[in-house]
Amino acid sequence: MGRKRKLTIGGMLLQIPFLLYSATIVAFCLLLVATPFRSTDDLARGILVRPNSFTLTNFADSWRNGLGTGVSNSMKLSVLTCLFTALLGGFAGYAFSFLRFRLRQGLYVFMYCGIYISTMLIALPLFLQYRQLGLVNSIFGALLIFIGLRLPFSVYLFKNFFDEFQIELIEAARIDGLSDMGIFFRIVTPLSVGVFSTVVLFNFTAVWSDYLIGLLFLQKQRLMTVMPMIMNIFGSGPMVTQATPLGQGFAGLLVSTLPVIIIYAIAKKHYVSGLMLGSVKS
Amino acid sequence: MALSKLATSRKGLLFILPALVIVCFIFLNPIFRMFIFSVEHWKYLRPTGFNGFANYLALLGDRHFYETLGNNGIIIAGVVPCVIVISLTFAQAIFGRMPGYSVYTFLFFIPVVMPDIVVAKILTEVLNKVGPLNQFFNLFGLGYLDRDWLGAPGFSLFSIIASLIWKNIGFALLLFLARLTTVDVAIYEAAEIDGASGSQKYFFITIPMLASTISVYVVLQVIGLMSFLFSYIHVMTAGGPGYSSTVLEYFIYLNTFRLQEIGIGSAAGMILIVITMIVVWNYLFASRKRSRKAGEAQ
Repeated sequence: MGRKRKLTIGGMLLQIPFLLYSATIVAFCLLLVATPFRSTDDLARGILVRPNSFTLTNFADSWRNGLGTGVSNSMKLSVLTCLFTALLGGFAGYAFSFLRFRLRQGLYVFMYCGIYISTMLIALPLFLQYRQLGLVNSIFGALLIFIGLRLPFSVYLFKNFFDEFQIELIEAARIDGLSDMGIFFRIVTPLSVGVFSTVVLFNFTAVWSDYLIGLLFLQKQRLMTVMPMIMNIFGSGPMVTQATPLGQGFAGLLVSTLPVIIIYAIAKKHYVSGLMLGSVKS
Repeated sequence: MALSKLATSRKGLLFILPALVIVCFIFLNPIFRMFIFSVEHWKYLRPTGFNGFANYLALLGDRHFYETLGNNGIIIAGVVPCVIVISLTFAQAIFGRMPGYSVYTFLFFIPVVMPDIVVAKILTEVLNKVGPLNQFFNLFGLGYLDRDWLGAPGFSLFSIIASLIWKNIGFALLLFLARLTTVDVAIYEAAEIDGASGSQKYFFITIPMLASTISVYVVLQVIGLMSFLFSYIHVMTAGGPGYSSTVLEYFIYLNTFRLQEIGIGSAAGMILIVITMIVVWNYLFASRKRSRKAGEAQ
């Protein structure tokens, strides 16, 4: 299949849907990339007209109006969430794959279900509880939520990966007298760089792209995460009027997209292996 | 799997304990609380006593609730089949190494990795009454298509569906492609020797091979469309106009955080949980049955 390339009419017709869909994606990206470099006056003429200006002030203004704060808060939360989910998720995955204990199956299914629970469901009860505990508007409080939200999927990826692991290696290490901690750090971790990258990749992207948790739990200007901050810069609300600083908002959109796209370009194969681990295999 | 007897019961629990405690606090605890909320009477963010199933009954008597559920159904029915058909076609062609396939696979995944807010916000701009889409239509003499895509009843939900299809094609494509690359090429070669045509190979080999992946995709997508749409709805239409683009998830948000109808919102939340669990349960059950069958076949 597909080892010979023939130019047929069918093959050329097939290009049409591909080109159409690609065109919409390219147009979308052009809009994202070009808009923040245009001046406010230029943008007032509409975003489809040919640009007649080039400016960097949108980025400077946007950064000053909170984008900088949002980026640094989100960066902190994303990195810390990745660290904790990799460590705690790795432990749990290790136990589910290599250790035998009571309720193993039940606890695994319980954690697994967390993948599918809507964030909206936990938002209100947690919000009321956090208000009592004084954890609203605290980075630590938000971090705890992000770690909790990302753990089920992380454990799931780890377990699926470790299930394919050569059990003989673990057995041999045990006979040599290595503790489970030792096995995890010295044997399993070095051989599982792939799955750790995948977990980090998915969790970083998820926390970075979060809107709901940031919106509800980090409401102070200096604590806001990047996505709510961008909406704040836009002036929020679904309907945009001409008065909104479109250029500044788009500068935020572009800056917040960059890390995600860069990571994707570098680590595309980890996305694919994550998908394989996460869904195809089951 | 051969597990060492050295691995004791307590050690395993110790390894999962930190994760388990956090997951219980972030998932189990709020869901339990939400259930309590749903059987209480609420006034201004304060519970004022048990009131049985009154919240559920109020919900069942609310026509906006049905409109919301209907919208969920319309979104699922609109997005899932479209994405499957489009991505299957794309996956097959890309797997066949059509010219430009590597560029296409890279491009098509961009919408998937883009943060939801970025996609939602840019599409909001594009679909704006004075935005690029309508300008485009007018430029090419299609002025009769010019309308308020997000603000007109009947079109806001349609616009959201179109946006979701646009964003989700890449995910399904990659999923199907990943599965296709694990299919044994020998099967196709054998079929070619037997004189199978391209479409025969497609319908009698590719589709059956992909059946389990398609069902995985359907489950993931249905859950995603039920439970993880907040950013889109909030940014693009805020559920409006009226309730015409509100989905169950957003209905919960509106009732709890906006209207302060905590009891009603929580009751709706419990319904979403039950729906989610039914879908997940069926899925787990089906995949277990499938793997048992595969085990028997070997």
